Order: sequence, then C-alpha cells, then structure tokens
Amino acid sequence: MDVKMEQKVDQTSKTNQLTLVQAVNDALKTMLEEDERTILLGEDIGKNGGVFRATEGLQEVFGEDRVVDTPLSESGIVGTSVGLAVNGFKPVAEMQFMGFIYPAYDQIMTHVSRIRMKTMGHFSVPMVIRAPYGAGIRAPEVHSDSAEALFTHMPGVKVVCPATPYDAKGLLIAAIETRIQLYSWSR
Amino acid sequence: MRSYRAKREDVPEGKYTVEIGKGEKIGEGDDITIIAWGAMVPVAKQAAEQAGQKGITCDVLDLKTLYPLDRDLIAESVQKTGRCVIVHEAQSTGGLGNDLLSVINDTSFLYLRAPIERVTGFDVPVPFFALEDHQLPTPKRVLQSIEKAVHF
Repeated sequence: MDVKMEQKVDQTSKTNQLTLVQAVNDALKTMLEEDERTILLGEDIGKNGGVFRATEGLQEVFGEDRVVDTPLSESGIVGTSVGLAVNGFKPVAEMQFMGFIYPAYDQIMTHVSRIRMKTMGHFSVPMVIRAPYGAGIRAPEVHSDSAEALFTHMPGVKVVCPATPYDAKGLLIAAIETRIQLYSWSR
Repeated sequence: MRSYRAKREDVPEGKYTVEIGKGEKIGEGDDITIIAWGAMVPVAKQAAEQAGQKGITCDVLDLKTLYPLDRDLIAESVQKTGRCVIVHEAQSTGGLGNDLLSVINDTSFLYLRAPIERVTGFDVPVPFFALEDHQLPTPKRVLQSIEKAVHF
C-alpha cells in the first residue's frame, strides 16, 4: 500500500504563471493526455467547463466519453467511479463543493475505502475525488464547509490539501498515478 | 475556494509529482511551530511575519497531506521549539487539530514548554454571508495564540 513517490521536476522544462485552479486544469490535461484510461466525471465539468473552471476546455479536446457531464447526483458520480476503477479505469471525480459530498459519503466509506480490503486485494479502487473546501466566497448553506476530518477517519483513503499552484498540480498527478484509492482536494 | 485564484506562481509544464505523505517547512524559527494546510497557510504565514516583528520567530509547517500525517516533520519541529499553534478552518470538536495534538503528545510530550494552542472555526455551522469572516481564523487570532503560548 505504501508507494514511494519522488519529487521530480525536470529543471529544464518551461514554466507558466498559473493560479491554483489553472494548475489543477494543467494536471488533469497532462494525465488525460498520458493515459486514455483516465476519465473525468462531475457536474457541469464538460460543456460548461466546471463551476470553478477547473476542467475548462478539456471536453473539447478529449471528448464527451472522457470528460463526462453527470446528473446532479454525488452518490452516483462516486458510485460510477468505483465501478470504473474496479474495471481498470482511472476516474477523477469532481464535487462542486466539499459541502455537496455528503450524499456520496456512503459510497466513499462503504466502498471506496474498503473494496481492496474486503476482496482480499483482488480488486482495488484507484480513484481520485476532487473537492474545493472552506469558506471565503460568502455562499450560504453547505458551500463553506471544511469536512476534511470526516475523510481522515476512513482508513484506505488518503487526504491531501494543497496550498499552492505548484503543489496542487504535483499532488493531483501523484494522486492519479498512485494505484491506491485516494482522496484529493484542491480548494 | 479563495486559494483557487489567490495567487499565481511558476508551475512547470508537463508531468511532475509532489510526494503524498510529506509536509513542508515553509518558514524557519526557534520559538514556536505553526501548523496549517490549504487556505490557512497564508494566514499562518502572515501571523508568523507579524510575530517576527515582535521578536518571535516561527517554524511554519504546510502539512499538504492530512492522512497519513507527516509525523516526523511535526515531531522534529515541535521538539525544537517546544511550542505549537495549530490553525484550521473546520470546527474545533472532531477537527484534525485534535489528531495533531495526539501526534505531538505521542512524539514530543517531554519537549513541550507550553500547552498547545488551537485556532479553529467555532463549533457552529459556518454562518451566512459576511458572518463567515468571524468564523474563519485570522492572522490576528493566530498571533494572539502565539503570544499566549510564548508568554506562558
């Protein structure tokens, strides 16, 4: 379960001045290009480009089968991702807000975090869920929740939370590459 | 959501990874350790700068991975400073700050020179609209906790 990852940057490669959300877009594009098993799922992520523009322009390049606009059902998004992951795909699901994840909690707790263990390692669920968390945009209801601790109380799921654009891209790529179930977060 | 567009920085093109499970020390000091992640990292940095103006130097840790925790990074820093402020946005009860407390308790209890401070959201649902600003930890609140710990 323990996969060692080296921090590796080609010092000669070009850099761009990006915001954190643009760095997320860059990471997703990089991984979609690299492996055709990578699939994005989420609400309004395709034609619209995502509520925070994290997936802007990706459906135009990679098509509707790989950047999938889903119905408004968080439980369905994560459940579908579980099925894809078990069958060899690398799903990256987007929650529009961390506070919208609660309907998917059941899927994450009862399936994502333990399929590998309950099948004695026959199946694993290498998937990533992205969710922006926290207050700051003064939206009502659940939009401002910081529920990260709920998911640290879930063995089998890893939780990451980048603070900078550089880390956002590097951690998201590490998350997609790691063949273990994982919960990634970029706020 | 705020840090989505809070700043720009150089991001290399192509593929690179940042190791999962490792935090990073982003500020160096001897008097106290500040632990934060995500959007609270800039808040911690600002508080550390303000503390610096008062002659208090801070180790600032950006955790990056919340599970599994980088116990070595936390222990190394807290054993050096003997004091710690944990900053998070989530409510205090059941928050990750409590697990960080237990890591420090397990690894560094005999090094502590003051009780560990936590600066967190209050134990209420995040309030609406402008009231959010009162819920979120601010550099001012973090600085108060830093001074409380240092002058214990």
